[in-house]
Formats: sequence, structure tokens, C-alpha cells
Amino acid sequence: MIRSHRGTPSRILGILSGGLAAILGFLAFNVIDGVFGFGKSLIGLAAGIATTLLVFTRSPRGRDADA
Amino acid sequence: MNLPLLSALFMLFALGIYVVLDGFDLGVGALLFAQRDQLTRDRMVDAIAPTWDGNETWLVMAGITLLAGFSIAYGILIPAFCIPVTAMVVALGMRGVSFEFRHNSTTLRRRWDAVFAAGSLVAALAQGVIIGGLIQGVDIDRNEFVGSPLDTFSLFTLLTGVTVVAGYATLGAGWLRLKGEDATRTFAKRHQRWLPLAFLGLTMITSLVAAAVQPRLVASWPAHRVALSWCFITFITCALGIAWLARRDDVDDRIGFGLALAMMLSGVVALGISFFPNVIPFRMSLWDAASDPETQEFVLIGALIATPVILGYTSFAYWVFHGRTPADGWY
Amino acid sequence: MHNLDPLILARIQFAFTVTFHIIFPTISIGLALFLAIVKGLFLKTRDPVYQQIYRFWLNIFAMSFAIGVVTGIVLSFQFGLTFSRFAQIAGPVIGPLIALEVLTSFFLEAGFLGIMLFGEGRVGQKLHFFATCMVALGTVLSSAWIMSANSWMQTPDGVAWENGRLVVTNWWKVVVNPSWPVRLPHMLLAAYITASFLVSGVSAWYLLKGRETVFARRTLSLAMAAACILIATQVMIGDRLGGVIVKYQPAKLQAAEGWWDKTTPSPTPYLWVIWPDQKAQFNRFEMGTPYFGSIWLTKSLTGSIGGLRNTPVAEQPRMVLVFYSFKLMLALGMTMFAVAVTSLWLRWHGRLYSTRWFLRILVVMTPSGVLATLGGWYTAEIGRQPWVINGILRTADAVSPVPATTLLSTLITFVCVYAVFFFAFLIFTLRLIRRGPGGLPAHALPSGSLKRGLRPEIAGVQPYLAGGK
Repeated sequence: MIRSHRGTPSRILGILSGGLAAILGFLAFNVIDGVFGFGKSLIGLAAGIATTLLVFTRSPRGRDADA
Repeated sequence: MNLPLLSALFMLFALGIYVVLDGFDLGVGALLFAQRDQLTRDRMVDAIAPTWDGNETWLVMAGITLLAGFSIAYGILIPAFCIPVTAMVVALGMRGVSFEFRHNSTTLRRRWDAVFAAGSLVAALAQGVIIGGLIQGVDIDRNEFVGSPLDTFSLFTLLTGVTVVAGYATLGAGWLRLKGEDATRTFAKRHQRWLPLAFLGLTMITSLVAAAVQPRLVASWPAHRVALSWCFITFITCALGIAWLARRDDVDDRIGFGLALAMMLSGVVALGISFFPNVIPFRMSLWDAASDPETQEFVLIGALIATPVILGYTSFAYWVFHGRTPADGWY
Repeated sequence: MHNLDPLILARIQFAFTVTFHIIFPTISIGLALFLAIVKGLFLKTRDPVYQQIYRFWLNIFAMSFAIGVVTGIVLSFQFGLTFSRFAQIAGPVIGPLIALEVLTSFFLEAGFLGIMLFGEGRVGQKLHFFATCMVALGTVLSSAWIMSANSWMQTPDGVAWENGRLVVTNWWKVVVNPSWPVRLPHMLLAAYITASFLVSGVSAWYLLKGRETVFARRTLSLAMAAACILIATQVMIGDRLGGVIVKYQPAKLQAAEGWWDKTTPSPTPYLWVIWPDQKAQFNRFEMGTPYFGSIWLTKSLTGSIGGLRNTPVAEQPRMVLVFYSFKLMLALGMTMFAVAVTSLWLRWHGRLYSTRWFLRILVVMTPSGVLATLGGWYTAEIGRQPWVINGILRTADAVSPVPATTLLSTLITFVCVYAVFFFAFLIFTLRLIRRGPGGLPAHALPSGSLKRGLRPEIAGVQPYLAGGK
């Protein structure tokens, strides 16, 4: 979680590591088909979709609730 | 089975539907020039708003049938008429987007109306110029256009252009009388009195000039004289009928529009007959330009299955918006 | 004017009209599905906010659809205006595919578009939903046919030469050509991703302004969830498409990856910036990430790939254009992926609607889908050069016998007219966004009061929703 009162260096580090994680995630999704084959990549995709749906339906309201 | 002939008939069918359907909405567009009152203008545009897109699709259908079924002719005709074709598609584009933009504009609505009307007028003119150019003849050498793109412009093609505008305006007036409330209806009736007569007169003059410009047109007449005479009789009767009914209030408005449709269709059929059996008039026959049978079959089977369905839901779309356009528009 | 090259002018004119065109179908394919989903949700929940979302986006959809239609009509004649020899040679193959597109899709869209736009008060809600679905279906069918035609030009199959023209020997092989099954989902997903970022960007702007909160939250929530699923699938499909390109159009991938060497070093870095010299067949400058090329392209730590010198010079595309178009798409794709993952993270912590830096990123990302789609199309089309039909017909042999001066004047006409279209679309869309959906009463009104609600005399109507401004 990124809090607004954090210092600048830690913030930049957060953004950079987030970006790296996203690139690795992109890469993982990209090569999954070529490395593991179509069947397994579909399972991977289904897992990704399931995660999205889980987050979509089960997210707590958090700070958004009082915005 | 004679596949090229069937493809040509399907193309003529698509063109015929295009001419009567987009004809009336281009005509309504051109008639905006004759209407100053903003409220009536809005109602005129409302009368064609729900269906114009489908109407224009028939032009694409005819064009693509030419590309698929008669690729050689497509590759000659489009370069030969590159200027009027560009003018037509640009004009159709201008009027197409002004439909949407005029609704979202309040301060500039009159400007968009002008664009809309000008687009309709130029598109109709350009189509007339292309017809005139076809009658004049296109310079070809084997499978290639060898003339200049400017060849198509002459006093004769200007005349055919104006004739087509008059024809579309006749249709447009018929549609407005059918769909309009009081003010629009009165406006439509006023123009119905003279437009069909102007269209008739211009067509007469055009035919005479055409006979002088293209002797082969005259040469082809005797072979089709019965069919052509029927077209002429229908044409003249309808023109006089519309002009006469325009003065009377006790007749069904549908009759005037129906007669305009018949008038226009008889013109299309007469042109089709005079050009037969050529796809590029007097230069290249259907069979010389035809693509291979596999292609013709593929398109024709698709058309055979899809056309009844299309006509079905298109009629449904027209039926949803049947009756007079509401006084405050569709929205 | 004798020094003007008709080939260059024809290519510029075709590229310009087709580039301009594809922007709008991409938006309307995506928005059509979005509208169908929103209308479906309205029918299911009867929550008026869905009706509000529908009506707001319907207007923007209608404008982009109209521009898509009219610029599409232009394209159906562009084959003859700029590449008539292509039309004569390949018309019997391409023509029927487009004819079927017109028959199965254009008429369907046109027939139900009127009901979708103006019919809400004239037909029942269910029929209106049906009409919306038919328009969305029409956009999918349209993509299927046109992608078939374009994919056939990339990976032609099922034809033979006969008397200087192409004759179809097997229609099935033409329609379902090798690249079509991958390129069609790639394009459809691109359109859906484009729409989700467009819609998210606008909602994020409202949230930043503190306006239309209920409307914006619901829209953003739907669009970002869709984006997460779509982009994950797209990234997978993208790799699969790479596999097809390697097999059938190696030159395209060689150019897109920026390598000249017949065999690249082992391990191969992944290049991000290059300054290629096409004449000397080498890169004056290159910069990349070590190992990534091997991992990404060969799925091994040290594998090598082939560079553009494997393709004869006369059959090479311009590397610089293909490379940067591809990298544009790739970079935007990665950014969109990162945004989607971040949205999941923020949503899980309940901060999706209140994290201002994220909303700002979304606003900036509004046109990202459109740009990525263009990048992809440029890679596909420039990467195919010098062929117009890969391996069969060269672009230079396909051009129309139209004089250069005529081509130049028609090009100028198209540029001017399209500029008007573009700026008018932009101005009206921005105005609609600024005015907001609050100007539209969210409850159903008789005779579909969609556009009337936008006129100023009614725009002042009190917003129906408590969450409105």
C-alpha cells in the first residue's frame, strides 16, 4: 500500500518495483502459452480472471466508502 | 447457370434500392436549401434520421458487388470516375457526420445544416455526373482506363447531374409529405407541384442530348423498344400524377411517394436495359469483366440467404418509425 | 508536377484514409459491447444509474459510429482510387469477403442502429436491448470478415493464378487463412480494451473533479474489471500471433525486433531503442535489456533469433517504422497491463475511486487503446511491405493508373475533410463530457428523450441522482 505521507525515496522505490512487477507479470502472461502450452496457459488465464472477479465482488469498501 | 448475369441483376437490384431509398433522404437534404425555418428543418432531418444509414449501405453493396463480381470493371470505372467518386464519398461523409453533429450543436446548427444540405446536393450531382460519364463512354485499352480523370466533366454530365438532383428532390418531397406534420407537409406539397415536372423535362432533354452524344445508345434502342416504351410511359404518367395530386388534399399521401418511387425505378430500369449487356456501357460486356464462377457463386449464395433477412429487419426498422414524425422529434 | 511519385501518393492516401477510419470502428466495436452489457445490467437490476451510463455513452457511440460508417464508405472505393490493379487482380478474392461483410454486418448494424438511437420510446425495453445486442453483434461480424480479408493479404491461402488474376480454389482456406484465427481475437480484444480505457479515463476525470460520483464509480468499476480480464487475454494472444508471424512473415518480426544479424548474439538482449541504417543493413545505435530477448522470443535463457538480413534486401520492410510502431504498441500494452494490475490492488484495498494519482494516470491513458491499436496496425501493414499480398503481389504493381496530380488533390481533400471530422468529433465529445450525464434525467422518459436532454433548455434539469453534481 502506498501512503500519501511516505517519503519521496521510498515512493520512487515503490513505483519502480511496482513497474518491474508489472513488466514481469506481462512477460509471464505473454510467454505462458509458448512455454507451458495452450492447455496450461488457459488455466493460468482462468486463474487471472478468477482473481479479477474475486476482487470485483469481494473487495471491502475501505477508504472509498467515505469519499 | 449464367452467374455473371445473376450478379449483374443483384447489383442492379442493390442500385435500384439505393436510388429510391438514399434518393429520398438525399432529396430531403437538398430541399433543406429551400427551407429557412429552423424548426421545420429539424423536422425534415428527423424524418430521415433513423433510417439513412441503412439506405446508404445499399451503395456499398452495389460497389462491392462490382468489386467482387466484375473486378476488371471496378478497376477501370473507379479510376475513370475518381473525381466524382471522391466528391460523392466526401459529400456523403459530410452529410453523414452532420446528422450527428447538428444534434449536439446549438450555436452552429445552421452551419451544420448547410453542410448537410450541400453534402446531399453534391452527392446527388456526383452520382448524376457518373451516370452521364457512363453514357458518354470511358476510354479503355484492354483492362485499363487510359483516358483522363477530367474526361467525365462536360455540359452533358452536368445536365445528367442536375437531372438526378431533380429526381431525388421529387422523392424527398414525397417522403416529407408522408412523414411531415403540418408545416413540413405544406412545404412538401408546394414543391411536389413543380419538382416532378422539372425532373420529367430534364430527363427528356437529357435523353435527347444523350442520343446525340452516344450514337450507340440510339442503336441499342430498337432491341429493347417495348420495355423502354413501358418505362417511358410509367415515367411520364407518374410525373404528371404526382404534380396533379400535389394540389389535392383528399388523397392518401402514400400515393404521391409511391408514384415517385415508381418514377425513379422506371428510370433505373430504363438505364439498366439500355446498357445491357455491358457493364461498362458499349465497351465491355458483363461476361468479359466477370470474375471466375467460384467468386460469383460465393457472393450470390451469400446474397440469396442474407437479402430476405435484410429486407425483413429493414422493413421492421421502417415500421418502428412508421407514421408521422412526432412534433418534437424522435428524441 | 512530373516528379511526384503516384505510388507514394497512393500509399499515403490509402494509409491516411485507413488510419483515420480504424480509429472509429475500434471505439464503436468496444462501446457497442459496453452499451449492450450496461443495458443488460439495467434490465436485470433496474438501477437507473445504468440507464444514465447507457444514454451518456450512446451519444458518443453514435458520433464515432457515424464517422466509422462514412469513412468506411470511402474505403470501399479507395481500392479503386489508389490500388485499382490490386482490385482487378485480387477483387475476386477480397471482394466477396467484403460483400459478405456488407450482407451480414453492415445491414444488421444499420437496421438496428436507428432503433438503438431513437427507438427507446417506440419499442419495449427488451426489444431495445435486443437492438443494442444486434448492433454489437454486427460490429463483431464486421470485424470477422474484414480481418479475414486483411489476414488473407498477410497469409494468403486457397488461391491460384489464372490469366494474370487470382482464382479461388478453396474458399474455406481463404476465409480461415492461417493468421485469421489469431488476428481476429487480437483485434476484437484491442477494440474492447480501447473502449474500457476510454470509458475509465472519462470516469476518472469526473472522480477527480468530484462530479457525477455515482455514475463515474459504477462506470469505472465495470470498465477496469473488464480491462483486467481483457488485457491478460490479449497479452497471451499477442505471443501466439508472434508465433504465426515468425512462421509466415519472418521479415515482419525481424524488423519489429530490430535485429540485422543473421543470428543474434547469445544471449540476445531485448532492444528498446535503435537507430537503423537500412542501406548499410546495421544499427548505428541500439539499446536493450540483457537476456530478455532470449527469454521473450525463444523461451530459453540463451536462444538466438534471426535478424532482417535473412530476408533479401528487395523484400525487406522499412525497419525503423515497423520497429517503433511495434514498440509503441508493446509499451502501451505493458502500461495498460500495469494499470490493470494496479486497479486490482487498489480495489482490494477499497481505494480504487479515491486514489488521485491513479485516477490521473487513467485520465492520461484515455486514448492509449486507440494509439496501441494504430501501432499494431502499422506494424502489420508496414511489416508486410513491399508486398500488398504477402509473397504474391507487390504494392508497386498494384497502384492505380490515376495521375499523380489527381491523387494529390484527392489526398488534400481527404485530409481537409477528415480534419473537420476529427476536430468536430473531439469538440463535441469533450463538450458532452464536460456537460456530464447529470444533464440527462436518469429515469426512462417517453419517446427516448436522449438528445433532447442535451439541449441547453433542458440541460438544467435537476439531476435525478443524488450522486449527481
